[in-house]
Amino acid sequence: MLLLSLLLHGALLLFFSAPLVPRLDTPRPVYQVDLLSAPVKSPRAGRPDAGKKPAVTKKKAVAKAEPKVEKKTGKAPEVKKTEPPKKSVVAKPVVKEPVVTPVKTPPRTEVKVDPSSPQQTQDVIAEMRRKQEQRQRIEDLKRQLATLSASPSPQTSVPQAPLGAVAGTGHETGADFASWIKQAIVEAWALPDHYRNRGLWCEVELRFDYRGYRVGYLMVRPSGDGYFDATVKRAVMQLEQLPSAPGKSLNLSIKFDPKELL
Amino acid sequence: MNPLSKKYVHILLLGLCGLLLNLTLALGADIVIDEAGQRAIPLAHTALVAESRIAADMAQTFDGVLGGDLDLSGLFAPVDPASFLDDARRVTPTSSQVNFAQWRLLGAQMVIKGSYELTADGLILKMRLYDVINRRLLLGQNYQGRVADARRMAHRFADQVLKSITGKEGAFDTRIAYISNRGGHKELYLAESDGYDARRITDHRSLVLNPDFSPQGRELIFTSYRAGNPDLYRKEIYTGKEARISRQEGLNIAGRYNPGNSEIALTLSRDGNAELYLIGLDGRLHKRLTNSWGIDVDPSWSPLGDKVAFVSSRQGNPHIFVVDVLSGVVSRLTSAGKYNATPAWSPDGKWIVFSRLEEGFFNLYRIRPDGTGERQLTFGAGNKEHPRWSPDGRFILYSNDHSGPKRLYVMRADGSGARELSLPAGSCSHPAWSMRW
Repeated sequence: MLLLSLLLHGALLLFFSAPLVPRLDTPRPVYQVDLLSAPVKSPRAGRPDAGKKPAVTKKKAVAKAEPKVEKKTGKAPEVKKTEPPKKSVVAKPVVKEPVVTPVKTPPRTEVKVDPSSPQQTQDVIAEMRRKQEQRQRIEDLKRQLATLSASPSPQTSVPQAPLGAVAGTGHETGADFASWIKQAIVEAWALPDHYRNRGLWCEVELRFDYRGYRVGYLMVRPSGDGYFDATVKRAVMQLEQLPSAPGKSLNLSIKFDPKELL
Repeated sequence: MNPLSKKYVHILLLGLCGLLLNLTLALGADIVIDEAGQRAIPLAHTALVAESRIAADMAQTFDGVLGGDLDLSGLFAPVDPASFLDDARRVTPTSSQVNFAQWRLLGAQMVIKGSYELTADGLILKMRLYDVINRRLLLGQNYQGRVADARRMAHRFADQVLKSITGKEGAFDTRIAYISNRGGHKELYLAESDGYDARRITDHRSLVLNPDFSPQGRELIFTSYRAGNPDLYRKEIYTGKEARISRQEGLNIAGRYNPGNSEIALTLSRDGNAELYLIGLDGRLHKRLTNSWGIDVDPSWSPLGDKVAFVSSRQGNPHIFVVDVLSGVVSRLTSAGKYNATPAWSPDGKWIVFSRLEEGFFNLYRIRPDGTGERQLTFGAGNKEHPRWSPDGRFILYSNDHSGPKRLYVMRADGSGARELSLPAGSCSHPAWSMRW
């Protein structure tokens, strides 16, 4: 009885003193997420139908798949030797890589039937039928997949939409140049609160050559406040070169219109 | 075609042109930037470099004062001096000598560089502000004076830096007046805008209250009980001359110069009740501004001098009202709160700041002269009272007793960046901020 009482009191003490014990703050890893992807010519869109991979990605998939096929074919004889025939019938590998092995022959299974038991014979025959149907189904799926792969990827009217944009159907991961430029200028623009809530806005034109160098800057519509315009110029002037060559000259008009703060 | 048809065709063509213009404008830009990534300009502020003999204390004082002013402005984000490279230690009076690449590498968009030279006559300071991105000189100022003037040179350069960035000069090279009891009596004191070099300028040995700077001259008005009655006095700061300009029976309190420096609005109780009056600089009575059964006190002029905000209890609790000087029409400004006091009209005319008693403490609020846009500026314990604007409208000076005796604080007009002024010990209240000195 005494022992039980001691145990109960000890448990209570532990329970209530737990918050008093200082916690060991284990250093947590710091993850930095770069939301600023390098611009690409044809950014991938966020639409589900834009996910169909065209030729470039297809090649990569084939190249990656080849060694897997070798492994599977290398392993197959071992399965035949060590595993019982029941397991070898299961066609899981074929489902995983249907494109690579379109004409794979099903492995042969040796079924031992005891002639003394007619019930067992019936069971084995039923099992064989079931497996045959399964193989047929897999073959059908493979044919459907091959047809889909051969068809062209869908296109929409907005081929330059950035990653995640609803209307885009590009095929490269990344943002478009306009998105990248916007992000870069926002980061470079230092606008003291003094200038906000005054309804100031201005518009500039920026020109980049085919290599991505800034070759032109023009204040198209000044705000009327030279000091506000100077902050804009300082922001724009920090953008000397794009991270990659666009391949053609870019001419962009950029409006600086800070939101009002309460 | 008859003339009437021609007219219609012309109108139609004009309409089409207007439509086309609107369409062109409506087409919009390829990119719209509606937010700025940084709310302050990254600024590298280098230490003064000696060109000949070294005056370390002076250089340190100068850098400290300049740094404090720029920090209070809220316009800049300082670049860490520990990261500075060799260009920070070089004397570069022209932009062609500055290694802008180094500053760009550190993320600075602007850099302040300066050097000094000690001569037989005193001190020569050469200050420069460079635009790192556009690689050009934004501001170059040379100052010559006594070594003891280094603080003032720093304030003046800070004012010029603000002007070169915003187009509007700063208000650091100014003075503040306030009431302190550190000598045993409540007397009038004068100090620099950051609180340094405080000096007592009255010796009434009674009770001095409510100072106000003249908008043009270097003189002050204040109320003093020196003669037993709360009378209004005027004092010339440099000559020390003093005159009692209003000694009406009863109260002569809260005098405020009008922006044209021709009249003073104040509260008199000569007729038995506290009302607002206008008097001349010689004390002669010009006009009675208000007439109600309630108490009318604490006048504050609009920057145009056509209206006066004041506190009145004419509708019950003390609230802020505005009276039109010419017509005498009074309109109520505040309706919230049970006790609103000490209004101060901003120099740009857009805001009236006042203190309100809520939950046992006075806190500062601001409101537009039309009664809209009310917003609380200070929070928490402690009474924040007697707000006054800096002459550039960027800052608000006020008293705060959250740590015991009243001390003077300054904050930006939006309520941010509050800090205590470096004033000598003792209770400090009723501040006033001078025009440019």
